[in-house]
Amino acid sequence: MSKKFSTNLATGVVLSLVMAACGSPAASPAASDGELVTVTASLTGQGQDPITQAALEWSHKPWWDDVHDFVIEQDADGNLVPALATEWVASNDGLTWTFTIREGVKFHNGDTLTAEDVAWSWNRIIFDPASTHTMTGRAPVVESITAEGNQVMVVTTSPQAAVPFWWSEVDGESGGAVYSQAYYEDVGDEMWSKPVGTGPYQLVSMEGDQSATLTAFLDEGRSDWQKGRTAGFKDLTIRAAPDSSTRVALLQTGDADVVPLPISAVEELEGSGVELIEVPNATQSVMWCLGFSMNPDSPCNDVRVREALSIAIDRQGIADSVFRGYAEPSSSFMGGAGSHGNPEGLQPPAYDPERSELLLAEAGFDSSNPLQVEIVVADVPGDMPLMATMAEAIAGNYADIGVEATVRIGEEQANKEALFGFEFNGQEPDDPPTPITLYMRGMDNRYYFVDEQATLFTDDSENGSSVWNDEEFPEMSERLRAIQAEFDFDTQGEMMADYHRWMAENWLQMPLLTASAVFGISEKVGDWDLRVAGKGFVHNQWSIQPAE
Amino acid sequence: MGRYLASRLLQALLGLIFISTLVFFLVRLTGDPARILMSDFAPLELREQLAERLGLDRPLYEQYFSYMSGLVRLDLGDSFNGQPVLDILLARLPATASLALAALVVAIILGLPLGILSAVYRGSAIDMFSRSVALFGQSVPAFWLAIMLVLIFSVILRIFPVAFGTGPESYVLPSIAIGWAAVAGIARLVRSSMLDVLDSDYVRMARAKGLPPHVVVVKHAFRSAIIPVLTFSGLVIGSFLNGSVVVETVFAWPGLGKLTMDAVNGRDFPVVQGAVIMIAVFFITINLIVDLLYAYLDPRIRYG
Repeated sequence: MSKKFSTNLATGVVLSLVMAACGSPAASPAASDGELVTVTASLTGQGQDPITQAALEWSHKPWWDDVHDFVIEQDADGNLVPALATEWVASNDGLTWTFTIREGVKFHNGDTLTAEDVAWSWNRIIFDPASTHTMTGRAPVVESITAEGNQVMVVTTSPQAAVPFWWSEVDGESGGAVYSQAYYEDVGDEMWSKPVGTGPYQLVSMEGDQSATLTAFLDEGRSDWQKGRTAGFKDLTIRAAPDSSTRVALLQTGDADVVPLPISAVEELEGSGVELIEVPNATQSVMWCLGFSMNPDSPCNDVRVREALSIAIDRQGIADSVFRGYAEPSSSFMGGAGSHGNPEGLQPPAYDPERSELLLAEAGFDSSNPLQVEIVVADVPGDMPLMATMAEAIAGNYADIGVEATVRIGEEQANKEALFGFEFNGQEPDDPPTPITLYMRGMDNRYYFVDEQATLFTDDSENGSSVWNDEEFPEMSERLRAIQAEFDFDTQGEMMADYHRWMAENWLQMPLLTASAVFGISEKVGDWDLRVAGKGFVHNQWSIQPAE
Repeated sequence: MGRYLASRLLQALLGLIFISTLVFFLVRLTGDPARILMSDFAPLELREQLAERLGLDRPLYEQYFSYMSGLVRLDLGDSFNGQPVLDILLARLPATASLALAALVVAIILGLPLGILSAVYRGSAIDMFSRSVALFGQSVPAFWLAIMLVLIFSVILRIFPVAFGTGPESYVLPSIAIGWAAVAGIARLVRSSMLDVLDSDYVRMARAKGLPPHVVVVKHAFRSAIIPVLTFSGLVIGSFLNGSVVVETVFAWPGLGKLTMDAVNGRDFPVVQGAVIMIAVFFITINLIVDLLYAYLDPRIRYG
């Protein structure tokens, strides 16, 4: 039996969340006495200060996110919804964001959450000299973060419309989680071994990287908002099983109740009696030509070549064969269905090998002068699966139209280092025109893309991370910066949708596929608010309700 | 004997220095840790600060000497998460060592009788069976065997647990998966040793004296045939320690192998370095002990 997750599945839970978030009195469901066992590929994080990581690793999040709360969360449609903050507003000049912090929220040790805790948590992650967190990248534009009463003020040196996203659960990763300053001052770094959060679960123990035991936070002194988020199961055990066949076996033997499944295992399990939940658009992938705008001799400066390389890809065929139907062609990168700024109505590039050959011939490439490309790809745990296999399939599509394609399967960090070190062919003006480097990227399907795209496509040479030449093709950066400076959420969404359409019209990126995340669940599990789709690991475990 | 001992100790030391040096440089070939540790969004200035804090801004030779002098003091440095590497490794060692021991027990319990029976009943169905087991054991990859064991004994028969953490019974499948190749090795070794011994004059003499067959086999033949097996067993423990990476991953076993795999995936270079060095130390030490035992047992070696 298989069921596809939709927002309807969890309407009740989401509704109660939103009600609670808005301050409405919500009923406090009691936690079931039962135990829930979930499985993750990897489990780390106890004893590790979150500021010492580039981002909270996906292997931490299965337990971390249920123990700690964020100031802002994102709903299933990607909208920002209140969590520890009840509201946030920007000043007229766009330089100050003020967050109003929810009152009466309790930490697991009984301390009351204060605005000072929020400011302290955020200041640490951005400004602490020991911080290596992603959020340190915001430091140059953040002037100060201070607390006054129940409000936190973030003052920036230039207007920053994206500030609320920095602290949201998804885009900010661990950046927006709030920790107790008083507890830290009391126990120091022991805090990271015995974490105290405000979340629906509290950590009881952790057996190395093998398992974590959590118990529902049921203190009567909790705020109404916290009571509205009472965990469905009183006890939660999260087990780590790095091998996918082991995870499947744990589900089949009844040793686990919720298990993330590799796509390769899903087909086998269909019809086996195991119930499957498919979360569409969990991960996404894109490919782009590194020579465009950076190397004047690159064939990618010719729009016909860019289009030819995109429409030569049989996206649906790859979705059906490589992903066994658990993926679909995408029309834009970071603009998937339901996301903020989704370009509604924009169709994925149609597969048209004949036109592709024609365009290449017009651009001067045929059997006597075949176009050469090198596809650079990496498989990254937690991101889009089967990337390397997809690259091989694309190379096959290219071979069909006479393009000589090779696939360079690398390690993620090595690829990134080469990318930002301008080592791939086409990244320097004097590089030979071919082979064209086609860089493939996969990632979880976040609902906010501007900063990510801006990192790649704005001139940021001081940082050393630019893969774009602003002088040659300034419109990309201008559009992204305009979106970053737009404070009206709806207008911003429209600008993002326009951006995606403009990218598609100019064939600037090759959106590939979005893939589903698939979970196997036991008969113990009822509803589950999967919330933001872009998570391939078991998350939001507090919202899992016992089956009736 | 003293010269032999000194020579072997020197060889072991040189081996360790070579491996430590190799690991140091290989790990650094994989990329800039400051770039990896810090996000792509981080300003260059912050990356430089981190490199300085980690000592990565110093010349490579300085880093190397600092690293080697740390090794002499048994200081393997700190993991990128701030914990001392030695503490992390020592915490994982019992799980790997106990699994290696269990695998050795499996290898001996299954390998010895198979080898003996195969030699005693040479050419029989038992011999064929034993040699088939040996062939299977030496040709089947441990990860495939591990997955098959889980499928058969956990998923279908529900006899043993899928993964680590449910008591002593969780040792059964991983120890078989790791020890199976050694079962094959021991069975073949015992078979060939026994065949040599069974054809020897003193065994024929024992038979001629009318001793019962089981006494001839166990008391006279087996005792002589066991010596190379003991040597082999010492070496397989070393291979268990470094060869369990994949099996530990399949069974979610919290040992050195899985730690190494996780550290590689997480680019935690100090832990990778430390784990490789620790495994190398085990292997070299076990080899050294075996060599010395051999020299003790066989005087021809120490004068050779």
